[in-house]
Amino acid sequence: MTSPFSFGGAVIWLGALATLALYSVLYRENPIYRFAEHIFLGLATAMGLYMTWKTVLYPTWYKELVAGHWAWILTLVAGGMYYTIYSKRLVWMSRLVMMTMMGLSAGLGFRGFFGTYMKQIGASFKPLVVMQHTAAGGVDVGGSVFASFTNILFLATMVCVMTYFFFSFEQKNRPIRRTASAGRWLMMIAFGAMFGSTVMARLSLFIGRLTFLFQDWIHLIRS
Amino acid sequence: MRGQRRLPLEQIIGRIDRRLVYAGLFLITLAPLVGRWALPLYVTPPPKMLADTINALPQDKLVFISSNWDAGTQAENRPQMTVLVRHLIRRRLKFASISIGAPNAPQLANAAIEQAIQLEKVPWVYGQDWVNLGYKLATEPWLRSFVRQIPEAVKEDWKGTPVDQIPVMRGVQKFGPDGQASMLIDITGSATIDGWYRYLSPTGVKLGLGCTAVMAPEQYPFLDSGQLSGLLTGMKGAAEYEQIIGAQGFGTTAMAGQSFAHLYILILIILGNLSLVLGWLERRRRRR
Repeated sequence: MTSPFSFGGAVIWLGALATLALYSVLYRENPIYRFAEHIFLGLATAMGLYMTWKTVLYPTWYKELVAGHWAWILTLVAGGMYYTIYSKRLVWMSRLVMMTMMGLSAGLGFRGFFGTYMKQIGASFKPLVVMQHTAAGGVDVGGSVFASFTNILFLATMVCVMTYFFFSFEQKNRPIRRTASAGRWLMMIAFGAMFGSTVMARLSLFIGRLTFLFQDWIHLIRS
Repeated sequence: MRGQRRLPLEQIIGRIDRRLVYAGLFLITLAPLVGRWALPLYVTPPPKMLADTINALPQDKLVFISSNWDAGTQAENRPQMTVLVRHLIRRRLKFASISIGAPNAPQLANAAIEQAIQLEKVPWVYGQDWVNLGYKLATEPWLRSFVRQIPEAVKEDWKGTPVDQIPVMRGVQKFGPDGQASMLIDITGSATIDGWYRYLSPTGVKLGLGCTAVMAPEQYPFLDSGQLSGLLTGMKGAAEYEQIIGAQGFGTTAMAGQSFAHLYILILIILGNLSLVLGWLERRRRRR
């Protein structure tokens, strides 16, 4: 077990005790868990404030201001205008900055949409019959059939899901109702895959903590 | 005890104390880690694509690693970062780490990079072969500026040294075929990749991603459209990449624990459903 009588050792001990305190909630709600939770929240808030000052406000605003670029004071005025939301008389001032920010975000968002999704729209046009070739130049029948099947499945899924999200008319027509229902089932399969990934992610975090406890703290796992 | 009615199986399963379930998960996950049990692991195409892309990069250009993870997703992102850096070092590709997602990410990135250098046992010198550019507040104008003219957006490294005094950053102006930066790999526990899709992807620059398993399903359409040149999914992605470059690390060791835990959860799901089905059959029998 790591000795707690050095700086590195004390840090590991603190980390290990905090981990155990937080995991103690799995047994039952208890004061040790509450204590650790509040310490964590306090530390995270303080660190967030410090890092905001150190990495954002100090280099990009304060340093510029003290270097003589006085116009940066206007950002403080604009930021302060947000707080007029609490005054009935001055609330119009907060709306000014909000409207400006909304306009900016909308413009940037529009550009961002094209950057992110235009390629995907292009990539959704897939050939339904794919011919794959082997290295010798012949036709790879198995590969071609599988690639064609994948593309057909992609198209069918896309049509079904888009039909499900088409709300401009009531889905009374039987084929449309069936297609939309298939779209819902296909989405359920996708959500299942997503949930499986989430379980995998949470277990990874658990393994990370186990490794810390049993490798760095009590040296039961060999590195 | 005589006279006491035995509980039916479905009720026994339904009454298992949740603490026993947790204890089981704890033991099942820990045993493979302590015993170093290894399970076979196969490599899927997305990490292979990333490795192939890195193998094809020119050696005279810089690779950017956008390191956007913190302690919360360390178990998934740190092995990804370590193995990718190891691959870059083996290929003699110089790199710059930059963080836009978490203010404390540069410290963690630095530790992971130093670990990778130590594991590779090569003199990979800070400033000459790699640099940590620290945390930058990635507003939309900053992202746009970074993609167009790197020196306009990055003035100093994480210790405050001006970039024009750092040899590895000298002459690095922009991304792309006529630029000095060949690729950006985002290793992230949050949605930072969206910013790179918006601004870097339209320039045609190679973009790689190492993300948490929660995020991965949403990223496959980007892989399909070619906006991503490769993808590492959580700890499994790191383990697969370790297999590809032949460098066993934390990912490979931890995957045995992960697989046993998955098996345990599958058994619990079957037991839970068995309890429900048996209860339903019993109620139906009584109604008759």
